[in-house]
Amino acid sequence: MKIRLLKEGYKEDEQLFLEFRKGEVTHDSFFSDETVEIADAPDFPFYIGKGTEGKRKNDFMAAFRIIADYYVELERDIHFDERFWHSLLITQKRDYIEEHYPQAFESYREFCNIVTKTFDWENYIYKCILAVEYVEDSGERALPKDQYYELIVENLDIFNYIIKYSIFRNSEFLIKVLTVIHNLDLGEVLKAKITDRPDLGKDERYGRRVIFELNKAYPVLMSPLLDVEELQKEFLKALGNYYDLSDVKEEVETPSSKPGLLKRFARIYK
Amino acid sequence: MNDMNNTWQFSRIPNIEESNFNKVLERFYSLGVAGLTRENIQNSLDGRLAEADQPVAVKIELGTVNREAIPGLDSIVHRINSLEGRNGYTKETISHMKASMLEENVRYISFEDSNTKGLSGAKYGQSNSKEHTWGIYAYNKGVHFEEKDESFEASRGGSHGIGKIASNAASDIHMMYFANCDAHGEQHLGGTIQLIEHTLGDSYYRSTGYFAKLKDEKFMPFENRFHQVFEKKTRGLKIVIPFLRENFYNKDEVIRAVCDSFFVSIIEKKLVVHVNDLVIDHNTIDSIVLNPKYYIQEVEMMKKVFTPLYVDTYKNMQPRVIEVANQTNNFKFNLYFNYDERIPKGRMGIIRTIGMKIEDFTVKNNSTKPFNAVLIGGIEEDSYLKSLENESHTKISSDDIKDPQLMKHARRFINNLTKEIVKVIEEEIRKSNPVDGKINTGDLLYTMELDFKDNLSQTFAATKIKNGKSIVRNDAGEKTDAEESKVKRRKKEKTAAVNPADTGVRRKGKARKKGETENATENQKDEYKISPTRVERLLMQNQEVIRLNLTSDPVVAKAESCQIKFNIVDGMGKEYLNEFNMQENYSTVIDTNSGKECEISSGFIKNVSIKDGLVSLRLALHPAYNRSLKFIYYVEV
Repeated sequence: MKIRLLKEGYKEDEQLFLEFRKGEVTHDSFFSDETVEIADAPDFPFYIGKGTEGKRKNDFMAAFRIIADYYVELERDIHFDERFWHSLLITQKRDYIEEHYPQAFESYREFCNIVTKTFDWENYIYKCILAVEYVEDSGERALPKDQYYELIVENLDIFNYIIKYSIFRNSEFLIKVLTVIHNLDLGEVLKAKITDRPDLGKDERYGRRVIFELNKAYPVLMSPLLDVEELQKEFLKALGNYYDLSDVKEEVETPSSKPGLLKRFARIYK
Repeated sequence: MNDMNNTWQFSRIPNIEESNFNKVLERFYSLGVAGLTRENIQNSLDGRLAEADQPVAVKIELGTVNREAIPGLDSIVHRINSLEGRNGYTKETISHMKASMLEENVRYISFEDSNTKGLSGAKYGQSNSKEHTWGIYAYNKGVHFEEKDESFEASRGGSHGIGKIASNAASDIHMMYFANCDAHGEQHLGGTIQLIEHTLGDSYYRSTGYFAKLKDEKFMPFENRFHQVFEKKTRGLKIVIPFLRENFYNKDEVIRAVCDSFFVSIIEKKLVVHVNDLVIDHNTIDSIVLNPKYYIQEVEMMKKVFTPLYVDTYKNMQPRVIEVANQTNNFKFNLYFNYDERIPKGRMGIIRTIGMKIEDFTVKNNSTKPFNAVLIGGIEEDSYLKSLENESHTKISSDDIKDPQLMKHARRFINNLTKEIVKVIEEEIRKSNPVDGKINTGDLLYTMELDFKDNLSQTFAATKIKNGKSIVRNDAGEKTDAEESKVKRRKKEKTAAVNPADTGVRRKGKARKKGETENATENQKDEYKISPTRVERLLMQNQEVIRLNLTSDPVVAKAESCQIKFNIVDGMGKEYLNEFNMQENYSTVIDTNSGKECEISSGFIKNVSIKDGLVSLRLALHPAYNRSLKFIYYVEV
């Protein structure tokens, strides 16, 4: 299947939106001479901002699966090229958009937000591509692939922060962080808002702060190169700056059949 | 066919041009019974007897009367039956009229005034004389009779001359009567009705009908021998509106309307109003505005109606005089002002001298300030305000004025009025919220001084650095020419020889210092960023040694002491301000040059000495100190 690439400057062209709203965009004036050859281009959810948590999770999982099976094998300079994705959506996915994201036809703004969204860490396709690349490319995996995909969806906030910082944007680090989160069952804590530190700003979360602490310590502490156990220590140390572990330390002595979350931190932290 | 037997007269016209009802009807209808009440009381106040010291009394009655008692109704029923609507709106209105006119018991409202002049010259009918106010009132639209006394004229409420039609608008069939008793005790009844231009028999008729008989082609009123609802036996005028619209039949609403608009007249004993058996005068108005049946009593909830506040303000506050100018005149007003933290919406009632409130004036940008005010002017002010009012007397604005010059004046006036009131509001707020102490404005002054210096140094050539301060000299015409140029040259050489990139000490500009009690302008410091190559840092078990080499920059090196600031740098080289708290990370700081301990604040290490251009510190670490952090160092001298 040949995908015709849109002509440069299409992102600022409201005419493209008007044409797209009318029907299939076919007129040559919108396209360049370049094309991309792709074996098969099945539909996948590519705008996952709305809906219930369950629906978003399913959408993400479906997107991961299809991208892993059909798109990730393309060359990197194709699947990291926003023009390719936007061209694909406009030439092949009009019906899908009409069915799933009809609001894209309502206004130019919505169109830009859903269809021709800039390809960075806020773009869902970008997120999915990175996630798939990192999981598929990872060498040593402590857990099955699918579980990593689930961890990404469950810890999107952390995932966003990791791909936001270029130093952490790599497969190994992501996989290790996810493994740490899984091992310590930290998901819920990291997602929680920090409420007792007004100096940090309104929407600060434990997870974001941990990643920021690791960023500040880089490259004195090369966290992407640490092994899982070392990273686990650093992770808890960073979390300890914000999440109070001191109260629980004594209780750790008393044996418990099922140690609580905080006790588990404390033990490892010690 | 101005039939002699007909009690209602419609003038013949050659053809039908206008198929709609008078537009003003709808406008007054939308103002409700409050608008009706307001118009009629205002007319009564306008008609007050100048010589009498008695208050104008207005008796408002709501009730029902049998249709038989309504004068000339049959002739009107006949007329209305002949009406044909030519568009959706008129069709609807006409069918409503046809349905309403058949009612057996007819709702009515009447406004009867006394201690007023009433109309004069009724027996002459349509006389076209300026003296005969009956003729004008009864048979003319869009004019009101002007008083001969100018100051009296200025204080009158009405100005648009359309108030009469407010009464028609209140009736389902647009009908109203007025009973008059003049100075000589002569009693007459007139009336008007607003239909549309229509056909009856072979003729076309005008929309307005008059309750009158025709004599020599002139309208003449009937002598009043009608039902007692239509009776007026003492001097004054009585407006009777039969077929009162159902939603207008609301006694409480009438009472509120009286208080809302005329509380000043009532308190000043210029007006007494009876609504059925309730008397509203200077004694009873308090109990009415304080009655939860009529008004919300919680100050916090008064967001639309402010009458209880106005009454309180007007009665209990001492007025102050404020002056407001437009381009030509200077107006003086009395302002009654009340500041109360509980008031959610700050409004100023603008009152005409007859005691009628025109508007709940919103002071621009101050609509939610906690105050309440009443503004009243004198005769001159009044006539000016009158020119600014809209038709329904509920707002002053420059929009209704056609003359562009006057409109400009009006805009200026409203702006100045706003400005004056804002002054008062701010003064009162300051009084009620005294400041706790003085604010150090050193920073502000400093910024201004800095801007001034910048501008000056751009204009003039020589800038000389002395003890870290910039001095700007004016070399024009001064005797220090030679020295000045030397300084200039030296400065140039220096800057040429010392490239900041080589020194590793880069001046960042003045650091700002906040909230200190010392004179901030004198304590301002220059901030220098120290290149990492000029920093030696040694991290040990529980202490850290830092050495900064400042020798490359002569200004900094010459200084004797400085303070030091650290900014964190993240893994990507991005610098973060205020991310590192010194106090939380260092327990003590020893200046090894002097051997003394330095003071640590959250952002700075203070009083650090510079010896031979070197800064040398030994810092004791708190256990929580993150040894992986990296910094960019700043020195302030």
